[in-house]
Amino acid sequence: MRTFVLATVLLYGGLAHAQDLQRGLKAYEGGQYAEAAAQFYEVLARDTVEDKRDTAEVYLADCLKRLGLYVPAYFYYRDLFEAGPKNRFYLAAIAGLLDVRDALHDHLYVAIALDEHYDPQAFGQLDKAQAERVNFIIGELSFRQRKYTEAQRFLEAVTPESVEYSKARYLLGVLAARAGDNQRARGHFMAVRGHVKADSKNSSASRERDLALIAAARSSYALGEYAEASKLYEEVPRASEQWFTAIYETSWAHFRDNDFGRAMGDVESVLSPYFARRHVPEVWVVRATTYFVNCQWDRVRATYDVYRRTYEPMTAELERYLGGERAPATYYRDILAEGAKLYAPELAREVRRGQRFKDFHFELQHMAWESRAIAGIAAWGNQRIGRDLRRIIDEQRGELEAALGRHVVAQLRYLQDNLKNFTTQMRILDFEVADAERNWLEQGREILKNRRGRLPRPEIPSDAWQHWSQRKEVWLDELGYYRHTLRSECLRADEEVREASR
Amino acid sequence: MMGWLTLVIVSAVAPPRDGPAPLALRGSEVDMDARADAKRDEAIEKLKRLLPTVSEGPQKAELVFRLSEMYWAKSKFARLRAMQAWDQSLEKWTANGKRGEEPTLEREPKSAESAAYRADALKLYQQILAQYPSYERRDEVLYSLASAQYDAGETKLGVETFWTLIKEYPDSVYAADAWLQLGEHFFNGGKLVNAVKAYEAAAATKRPRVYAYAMYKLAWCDFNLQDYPAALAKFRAVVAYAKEQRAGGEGELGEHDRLQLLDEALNDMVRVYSHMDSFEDAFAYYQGELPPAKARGYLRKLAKRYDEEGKHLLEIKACSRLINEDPDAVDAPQLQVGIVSAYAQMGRNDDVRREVRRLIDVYSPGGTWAKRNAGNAQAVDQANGVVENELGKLVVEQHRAAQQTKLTDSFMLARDLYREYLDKFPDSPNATRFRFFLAEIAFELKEFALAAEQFAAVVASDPKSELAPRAAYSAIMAWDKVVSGARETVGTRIVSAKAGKRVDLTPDLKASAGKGELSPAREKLIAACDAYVDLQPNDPEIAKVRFKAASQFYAAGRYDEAAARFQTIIAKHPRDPLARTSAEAILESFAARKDWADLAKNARALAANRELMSDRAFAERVNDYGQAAAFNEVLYVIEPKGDQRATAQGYAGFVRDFPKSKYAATARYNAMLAYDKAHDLDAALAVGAPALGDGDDEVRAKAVMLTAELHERVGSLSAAAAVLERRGREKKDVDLLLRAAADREGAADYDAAVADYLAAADLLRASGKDLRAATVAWKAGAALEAKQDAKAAHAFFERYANDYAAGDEAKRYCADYAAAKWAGEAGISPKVTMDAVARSYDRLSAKAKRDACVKSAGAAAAFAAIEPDYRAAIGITLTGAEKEVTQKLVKKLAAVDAVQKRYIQVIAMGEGTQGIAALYRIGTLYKNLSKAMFDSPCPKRLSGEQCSIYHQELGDRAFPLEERAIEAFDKAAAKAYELGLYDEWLTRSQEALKGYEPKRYAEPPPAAPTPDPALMPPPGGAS
Repeated sequence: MRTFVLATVLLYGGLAHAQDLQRGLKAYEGGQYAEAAAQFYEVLARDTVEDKRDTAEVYLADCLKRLGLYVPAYFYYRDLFEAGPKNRFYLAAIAGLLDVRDALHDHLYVAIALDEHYDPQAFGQLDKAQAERVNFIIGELSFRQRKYTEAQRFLEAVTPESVEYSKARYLLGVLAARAGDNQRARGHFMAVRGHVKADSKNSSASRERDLALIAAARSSYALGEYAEASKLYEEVPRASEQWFTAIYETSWAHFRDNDFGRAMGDVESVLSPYFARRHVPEVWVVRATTYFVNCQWDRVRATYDVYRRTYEPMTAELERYLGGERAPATYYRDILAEGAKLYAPELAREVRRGQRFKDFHFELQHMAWESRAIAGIAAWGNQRIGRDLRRIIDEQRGELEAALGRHVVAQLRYLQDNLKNFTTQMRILDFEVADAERNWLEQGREILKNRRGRLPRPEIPSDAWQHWSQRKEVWLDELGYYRHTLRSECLRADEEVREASR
Repeated sequence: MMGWLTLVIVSAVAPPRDGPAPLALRGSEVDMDARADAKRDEAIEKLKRLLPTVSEGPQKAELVFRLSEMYWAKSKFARLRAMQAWDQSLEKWTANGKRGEEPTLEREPKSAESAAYRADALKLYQQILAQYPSYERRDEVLYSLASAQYDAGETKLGVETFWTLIKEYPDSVYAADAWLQLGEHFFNGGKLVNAVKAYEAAAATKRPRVYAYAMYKLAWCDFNLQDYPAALAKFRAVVAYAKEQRAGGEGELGEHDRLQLLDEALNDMVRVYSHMDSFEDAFAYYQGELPPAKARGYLRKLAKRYDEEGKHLLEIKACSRLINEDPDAVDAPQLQVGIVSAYAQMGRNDDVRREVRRLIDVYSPGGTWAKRNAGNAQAVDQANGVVENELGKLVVEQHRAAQQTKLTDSFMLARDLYREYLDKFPDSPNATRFRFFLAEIAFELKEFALAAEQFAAVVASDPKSELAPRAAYSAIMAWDKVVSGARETVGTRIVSAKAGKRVDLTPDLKASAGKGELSPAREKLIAACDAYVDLQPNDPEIAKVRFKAASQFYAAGRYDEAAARFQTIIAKHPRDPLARTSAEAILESFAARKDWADLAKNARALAANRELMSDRAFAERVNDYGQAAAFNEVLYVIEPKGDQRATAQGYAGFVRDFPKSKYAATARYNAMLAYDKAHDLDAALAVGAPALGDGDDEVRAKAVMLTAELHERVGSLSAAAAVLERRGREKKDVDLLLRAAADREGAADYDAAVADYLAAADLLRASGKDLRAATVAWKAGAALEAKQDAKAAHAFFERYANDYAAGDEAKRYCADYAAAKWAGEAGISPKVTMDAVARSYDRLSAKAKRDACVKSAGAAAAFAAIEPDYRAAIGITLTGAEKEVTQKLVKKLAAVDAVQKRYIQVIAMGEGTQGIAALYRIGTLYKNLSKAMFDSPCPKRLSGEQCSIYHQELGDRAFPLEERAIEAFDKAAAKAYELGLYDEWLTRSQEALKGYEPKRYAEPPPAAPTPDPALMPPPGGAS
């Protein structure tokens, strides 16, 4: 961007007008930011005095920010920031960049700019809040870039006073988990839980808390503390954004805790019409595995059948799609078109559900809006400023669209890998069923199922609970709290005889 | 393969064995049905499809291991199926009379399948070990691999892998199993020291299952090393351990295995005690360790063991002690039986008799034991049953032992025991049976008449008993013995066949026919047979019994009665081989009486019996009887009467009736001879014609020679030659071919003669007789000369020179001469001209010149060479002018002189024909000269008278010439007479002389007969 600005100067170098800066400041003070921006733009373009140009540039950036034109504002802030600490608007530029980052939900440009020109000494002059934000931004970027040591260092520097504290702790927890230290990881996640109150009105903070609860539950699960994991999952507020994930994942915790009834209840919840648009391949793995450990071979097969009919074609479609050569931006556009009939819409929705995608998408949408907004600013008429700024936005938009496309591909590949993994697991179950049946037959036990009798009512904890029969089995309460009465059919031969004689 | 899950020791009901209980896998012993196997196939297929989609890592290693285990299970299942199929194949093969190749396990399709799966499993085990070194179940994989290798017969590899497992994972649970398997390996290989080390290592792991079995096997090692005290101590330790396991209630040794191990150890200990002869210790141990009933059970086994090992005194002591310890025990009668049996085994017959009496007195109803157990009716009943049954068994066993040992004393003891029993239990259901056995023993003791009577008593007492048929049959056997008259004596051992055993009832009829008489014994034997037939009309061997009876008549020479019974056999048992034997016996009886007419009649009657004649061999024999009867009728009835025509017609009639008979050819030949003797050659030839290609070779050869002779005798030389040629070519007989060739020449069929000669020459040459081949081949040329076929003759002799005369200058010279001669006749230029032949004569060796053919050829060549000059000399005419006549005369005189000299040279060669020819030529020279002079015209200058004087003068000069001519012709004729050369030159000479002296030769002598070319000396004198 600095290069672009210099070129403008050379073009108009001989036409500087000192009075333009004054007119610009006057318009700025009068709240006429569009007019002011036009004046500052002229100074920046024509004035040969560097200090005047810097002044005009910082005001120009500010005017643009105030007009909601964050992308061109980012460019002028960054230009000043890249000039270094000697520039008297250096700190103002950093502040401006942080503002723009927030406004655009940007995860990329500002972070990269700060990281590339990071100067500890100069950054030390920032106020504490800003400095911690910068530390978080660089820590997060390092985390994404898998520079874990550096990420650890920057994230650890974020204190509870910082607005980024929860996020920093969350990422530190993830870092610990990736290092295999689930105990420490859970400590970080629980720190977030303690940092944000359950009844917080700050939706972003609440979201961070929910994410931390799920992460803490995962750590507990990894530590083999399944009851603890279930408890943490249950803490995720009902109907919150993370509720579905909590139910989905707690099924495994219940399963591992040998609470098969609750595991099957979780499965039933996930498969309820309420979550019909969700991508839930793993829930079939949970269901099939639960039936398997309860020796209900026919039901394992039936579950595998459903999975196979649903997800194997889906996997094949996705594989075909990702196997093709496409421009990066196409992947993004196909996501917006729910897969453009090239792959399952639920996969597209799953990608769109990601926060990172949402942020990128917001940024792109904002760019589109900015481009349209410039055209509507009457004060700029046919002036050059309008055309130049739109060109900047369009170029940036194309670049970001490609970056988002690459993100989409990565997400789709992740889903593809998961599908393959689940398919393998289901096939293993299918094989295990055949082998288990073989084992039964060798023991002289029949594998053909007779008609199952109705199971007895489950234990009802209190009047607050209800039950009803479904598929001759009993279910308690409602979504998210279902419990299944599942009976193991792994009977010994003598038990089998008794069972048959009932 | 999951390691050995459970130790299983063969159950107590298993058959006796000579070694320890095998190590086995209970899980894998379960017979998996087809559904389980199909499920395994399904699982394998799923796993195979799954594996390529699974990422490398522990999970994949686990799945590969699972697949390998499934292959292993498949291999075992297929092996089981293969063994089942093999069993079925063997049963089927046995049921089919063991026809075809004996089935083997290896050829069962499932065996190959098993091997293929095993190979798959082995491959995967090795793959896991190579690709997943950190796989957590690696020790188990090693164990599986080792076991699989061992089971696959790769024992060395298997043992190595077990060692690898032990070294790499000494603390693994599979290491203990590996030690145990190594122990098994060494134990089964007889390496007991190594086995002990391995079992000790296994036991040291203290894993209950492994420990218990290892200790058990260690006891067996000691036992096999004959360290019986050590073995006993270990078996006792195993028992103690098994009890302790029950007390603890914990451990891997299941209740089922524990009980089996306990029982096996206690059982095997019996074996050790038996070896140690320490029944006191045994009593002390078992009675100290076990409840009385169980202890008594093992001690009874010990007594039985003593019995099996022939330790009868110990057996008696053990049984006696058990009886004494509890005389009223329910097993006391059984133990008493053991005592009796032991004495019997020891051959202590008196003790046997005593103990038997005790058995009867004490334990039978009314005995002391029975009284004391009166309250236990069931026990008393059982004891009574035991006494009767066991005594019965004892007797039978004694009987059987007697049959096995053949000891006469044993038979006598058995006989006495039977009598004892029959006295004690005359109404016993066993009475009939035992009487039968008594009869059998009598038979064994050669008391055949007694045996027969006892057998008869059995039949009489209960004709419907199952023994009656055997008794009846044995009666036959006994009477047969009597009839045979053999004086059999009984020594210390009985060696004859026992009664009742099926023996051959079909004696050699030809050997016995008519030699015996119908003695009373035979009559009883016949009656016994008839009785058996009545009793067992459906016995499969009833035909033999009937045959036995019939053969008695036959043997007595009472053929008509024999025939009637044989006819019964034929009628009632048409499918039995004896029916045919009977039929043959009937025919043979006629043959023996030389009753050809009846023989033929009966043979025809039998030939109409389709059932009997369905056997080809029999049918042939019957036909043979019929044909032999017909043939013999001509031979022995008609021919001796001397009517040759009737004889010939008889034989011809035989041939007509039995054209395919093996006697047909002989009959034809005999007919030919008879017709020949009757001077009816045409009939002889007609009847003999089929014999030329029929009958055995000897008869055919005779027929051929007789046929040829008959043809030659009637002058049908071509027909004779044809017969001889066919036979000569077929048999490659040179003499027949030469005789055929002569016949062909005789019939002027020279081409055929040439072919026969050359065929004969080829045969001679093929057999290395080159000289004779050349001689015979020359005859072919001679035949062509006889045919006057100049071209063929020329060609033949030119070929002959190369084909037969190579290296033989005489033969070659003769051939060259003949070729030149016939070339001249044919107007062909020969390869060697006659002049050349003549010139080459002088160059021949002296030996060659002695050869008659050479001499003849040389002379003939020399003669022929003179021919042109001779023609020129006689061609000079004395005509023309006076001067010319004078010149011609001079010239003619000179020519005649020169030619005469050359003819004299020919004469000097000493060859008859050419010498005579030369003399004749000299004569003709002078005759020509004299005639020329006589015929010379008178010169024109002379007057008539002068002319007369001139002719007179010429006549005076010519006359001596004419004398010389006559002299020459005379000499030629005289020489021809001398040499017997009545050829053209003699004729010519005689004709010439006839011209001079007509009265001297009124008629020419008769033509000389044409000599047989075959009798002519060969060219060159070779023979």
